[in-house]
Amino acid sequence: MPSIPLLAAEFKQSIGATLNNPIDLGFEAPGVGKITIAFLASFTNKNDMQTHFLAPIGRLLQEKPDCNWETLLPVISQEGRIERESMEDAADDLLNGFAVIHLEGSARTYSFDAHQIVKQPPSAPLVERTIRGPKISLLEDINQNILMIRKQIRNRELKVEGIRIGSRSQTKIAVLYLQDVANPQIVAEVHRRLNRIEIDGIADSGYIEQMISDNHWALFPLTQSTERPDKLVAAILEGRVVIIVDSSSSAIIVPVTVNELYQSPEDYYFPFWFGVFLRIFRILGNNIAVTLPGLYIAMLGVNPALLPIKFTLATAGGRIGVALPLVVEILFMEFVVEIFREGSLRLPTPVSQTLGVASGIILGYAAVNAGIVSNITLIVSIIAAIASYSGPNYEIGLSWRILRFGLIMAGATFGLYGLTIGGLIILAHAAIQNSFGVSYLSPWAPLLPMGLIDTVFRRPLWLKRRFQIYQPIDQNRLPKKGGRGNP
Amino acid sequence: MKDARTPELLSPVISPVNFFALLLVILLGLDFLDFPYEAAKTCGPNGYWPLLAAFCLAALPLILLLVLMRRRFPNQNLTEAAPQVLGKPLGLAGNLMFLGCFVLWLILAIKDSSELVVAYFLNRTPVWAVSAFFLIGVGYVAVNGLAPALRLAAFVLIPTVLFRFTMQIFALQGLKSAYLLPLFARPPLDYLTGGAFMANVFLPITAIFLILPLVKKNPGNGRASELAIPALSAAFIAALSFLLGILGAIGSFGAELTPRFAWSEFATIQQINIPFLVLEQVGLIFLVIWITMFFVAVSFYFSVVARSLGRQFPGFNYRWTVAVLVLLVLVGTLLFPDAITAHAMFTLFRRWLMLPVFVYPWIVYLVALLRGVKGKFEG
Repeated sequence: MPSIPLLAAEFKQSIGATLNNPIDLGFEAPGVGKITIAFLASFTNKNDMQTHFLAPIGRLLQEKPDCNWETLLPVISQEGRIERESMEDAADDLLNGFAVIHLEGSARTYSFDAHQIVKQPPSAPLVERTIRGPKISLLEDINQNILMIRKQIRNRELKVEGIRIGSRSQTKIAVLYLQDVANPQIVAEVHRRLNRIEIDGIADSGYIEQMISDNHWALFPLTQSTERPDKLVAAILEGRVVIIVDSSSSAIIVPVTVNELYQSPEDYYFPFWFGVFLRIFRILGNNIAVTLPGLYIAMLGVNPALLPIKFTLATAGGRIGVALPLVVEILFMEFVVEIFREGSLRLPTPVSQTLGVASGIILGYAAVNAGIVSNITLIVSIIAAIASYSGPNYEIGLSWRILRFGLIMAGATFGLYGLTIGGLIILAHAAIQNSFGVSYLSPWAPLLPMGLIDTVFRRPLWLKRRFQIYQPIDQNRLPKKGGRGNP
Repeated sequence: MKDARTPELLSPVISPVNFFALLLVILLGLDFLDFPYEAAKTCGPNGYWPLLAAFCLAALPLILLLVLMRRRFPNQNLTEAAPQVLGKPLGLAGNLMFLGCFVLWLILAIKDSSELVVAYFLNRTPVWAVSAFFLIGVGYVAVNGLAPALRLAAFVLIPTVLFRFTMQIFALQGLKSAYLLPLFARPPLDYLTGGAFMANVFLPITAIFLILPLVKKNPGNGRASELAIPALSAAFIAALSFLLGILGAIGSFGAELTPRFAWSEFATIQQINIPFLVLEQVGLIFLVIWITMFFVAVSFYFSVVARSLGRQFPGFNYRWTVAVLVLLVLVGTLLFPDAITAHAMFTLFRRWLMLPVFVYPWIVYLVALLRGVKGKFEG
């Protein structure tokens, strides 16, 4: 490794060459040029630079023009000082937001944290909105995200471990868990999977999610992503592991079960029965979203004998004049709804709602009048589309939207029987999945009777024991008095 | 901590609760909805007594044997223990006979259930298409090991059992007590004969011999109570459901008419009349629930048969064995010309199949006892 040049000019040249002379590489030379401070302007806070480096060094040089490290270092108030003896290390420090100080005649440098924190104002969650609970979502800065969690768990057992992933991006990843609660096997597995990632850059936590997943071909999300700090806090307290990725406003929680993906933080913020009520309707909404189009086509197209005659006649009457077969009609509507959904995401916010409502009404009315779809098909598709947003997790909703097409085809081909077998195949697909060694269908399968308390019904807050699903090493929620975790 | 495609899925540890769920689901899923046929045929209005006889003749001895086998061979299942007890050639032949009975039974069961589906759901669909669709699903579950079937059983347990019992209770609305009386109208031997013919409703217990070492609370040797209590509970709850089915069928149609229905229990459910219900027929919902249980039970059977064949012939790849079994069963279902022949053969087969499948584990155990052969203990 190349050593640090003794001369200031050579140091500047060398560090520039090591970093390929980036445009934001800057140098300050207080005094007569004996001392050189190298920094990356994009990372560095100019005010801090002035306050912590330039001003005190300037004062020192006025008093003692022939300064050395022993006199220089005490006047710099920045913490996190690192001594370096190679150019690569010094250059890496610059990439990490440090300022590197070089003293002519010395073959070492000192790096000081001069990282500029971009203070981003917290915003309300965009996807996981709730009526009650904190209206703060994660930010793109890893330190601020860790801070949000630390503010809610002031416990020494909260372990925050760091790792860098991405051969080029060197993205900071933080792994958070409660050391005396989380299962060490799960924690070790998280580290093992993170360490085996080989990639040049991480643009978002989604990269990490995919690369640590148990099964890359699974149609269900095997990790939980969230933008809500309160969800992360709850997960950590439950004995799960949280992964935060720098520059990403969503974090990852592992392990996950399908049951978790239907739980919203506000279930626990409202009184018990309110929480239960909300959760039941959420699960009901999800089931409607998944099965309604398939059920509609199975019942009306293949097994009309199941429905009351009056209802069958009414719906059959409603389809008079519709040119398309039922299956094509429902598939057409599903495609249109999916395109609407995708399109509305990209529309500018001021016009998206108006345009969405207007085009929905006009197009729906026109489609019915033109005989492309029937009224009832329109109703079914819209109910299914709205119900698909009842779940708090976007990814699982996406899974069901894909699988819904399979159920439509199964229902159209084999009626209610097809829907049953199709549903069982989907269930089987979920049953073969594991998330970090935990069954995806837990606590339903394998059956953990105590865990069922927090499924359709909500866990009462007075329950002092953690469930076995994530195999925590401490099953008691309340730490022992005077325990080492308590400050 | 292993990923989704590890042997853990092939040989999972089955906790007592999950063992209970599995056994109950396969017992209820493999009742084929016509057990009141044997009951009414042999004992007329007293069709409920043969069920008690069947429970004592089949369920209790089988559960006892499960416990005894586990004590003697804690880390081996029946097909692993048999060659050690009977000698390699005899053990292999016995195992193949035991597993062959299951395969034959699967062929007839899937054929019969497909006919049921065609009769009530899909009048214009060919039976082979229904069987093929079913087998694709079953194959997908089985090919991924034993764990998915176990997880499915646990997942569907609560809703399906609740629905089944509710509907069976509702089906009693047409019950006429006169059809069930007098209480003892037949000679005692008839009850025993009826019990022997009905014993096949508890036949699924025999499949547990193939996964016996997996049933335990924690890794290591399991205790007898971890096996006996869930097995007895599952058999008892299943027997209750069968009793409701028999009471409903004979009580609603009479002993004369009951055997004339191909699926008499289903016919009983079909007569449920609930005003203001959204659905015209509740019976078909019952069929959906039964198909769910049947699907899980058949998946489990495919998985354990393929797993056991793999133990017999170490060269067999598990996934390929499942695939070949699925094809074999599909071809087998195509060999039966019509629904009536298949159903008649199935009824006959189920009656007599009990004999080799029931006797074989006992032979293995008794010979082991006489020869003083014991299984290897671990840990």
